[in-house]
Amino acid sequence: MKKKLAAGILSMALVAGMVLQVSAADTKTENMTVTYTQGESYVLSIPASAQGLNLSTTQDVTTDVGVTGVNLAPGRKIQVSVTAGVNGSGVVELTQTGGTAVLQSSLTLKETGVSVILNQAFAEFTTDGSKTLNFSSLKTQDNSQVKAGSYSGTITFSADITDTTIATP
Amino acid sequence: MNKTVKTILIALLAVVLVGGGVFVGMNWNHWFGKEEAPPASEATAEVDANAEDYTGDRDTYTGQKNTDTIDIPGFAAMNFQAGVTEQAVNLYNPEQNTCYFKMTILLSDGTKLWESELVEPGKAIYEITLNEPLEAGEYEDCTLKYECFELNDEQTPLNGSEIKFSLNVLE
Repeated sequence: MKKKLAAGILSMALVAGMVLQVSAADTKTENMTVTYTQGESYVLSIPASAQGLNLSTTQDVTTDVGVTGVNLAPGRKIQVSVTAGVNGSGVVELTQTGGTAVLQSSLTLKETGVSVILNQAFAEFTTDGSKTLNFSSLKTQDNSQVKAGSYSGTITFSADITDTTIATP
Repeated sequence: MNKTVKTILIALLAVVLVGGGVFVGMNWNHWFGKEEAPPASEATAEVDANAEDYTGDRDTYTGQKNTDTIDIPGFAAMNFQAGVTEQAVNLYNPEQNTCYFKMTILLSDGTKLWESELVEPGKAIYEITLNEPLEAGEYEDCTLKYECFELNDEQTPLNGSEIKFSLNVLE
């Protein structure tokens, strides 16, 4: 009787083990992807006005254009160009207030002497920095005498975040 | 001086010293200690009338005003909700500027979505109403145009800027 009882208990243990056995193949794992995106931003600093630069008829004047607070994703850059106020030859024109006389100044990048041409990027940044622009001395279109009066003009600076693989012309 | 008097004097001295020590100890905190805060039931504070609803960080003063330069906030992307004209934005004129901003949002084909009035330095626009609702999608090469004007009656035009960005219109 005792032997039968022991045999019965062992058999039940064996069956229970077979039923309750955890199969490694049944264990499931799942991955959860967690994402976050921080937006890119910067502050573009431009000269306020041609008048504020005190452009001169006798000497060149320089001013800086730069970016601060630059926060870009890897592989990205800020390209800066002029989209209004300069022509295809890099010439800025100031018009006489209340008149028709025009003064011209050639706008170039000081470090290279390259003209800043309309719609063509003249600087690129991946971090805080600046470039120096050079305004040549003011002259009339035909080098005639500069007529008295106030002259003004505006320039529009454009900034665009692009991939670093995009070359600056 | 006989022995009895000496004993009495020493005893008196001891009493004076002990009494003096107790007196100093009892008044130490009063003479040299920190002032105690009033009980909580007596402490009162007033609500700050300058506080307003928190709507996100704004530029804080970081130095002198710009006199010869203009700071233009730029970014890579902006999100809008599809099918509605009311949108939430974060457009502002940095406090250090000395000019008005007039801001315009344009699609790549030149369609004007929205235009502001003059925005003073240190002011922001958080809600705008578009001229038309947009369908969901990504609109590349959009422009946030900044026209800047002097802070005078003539509002003399100054140099401006155009920030290129992508507009994500979400369902």
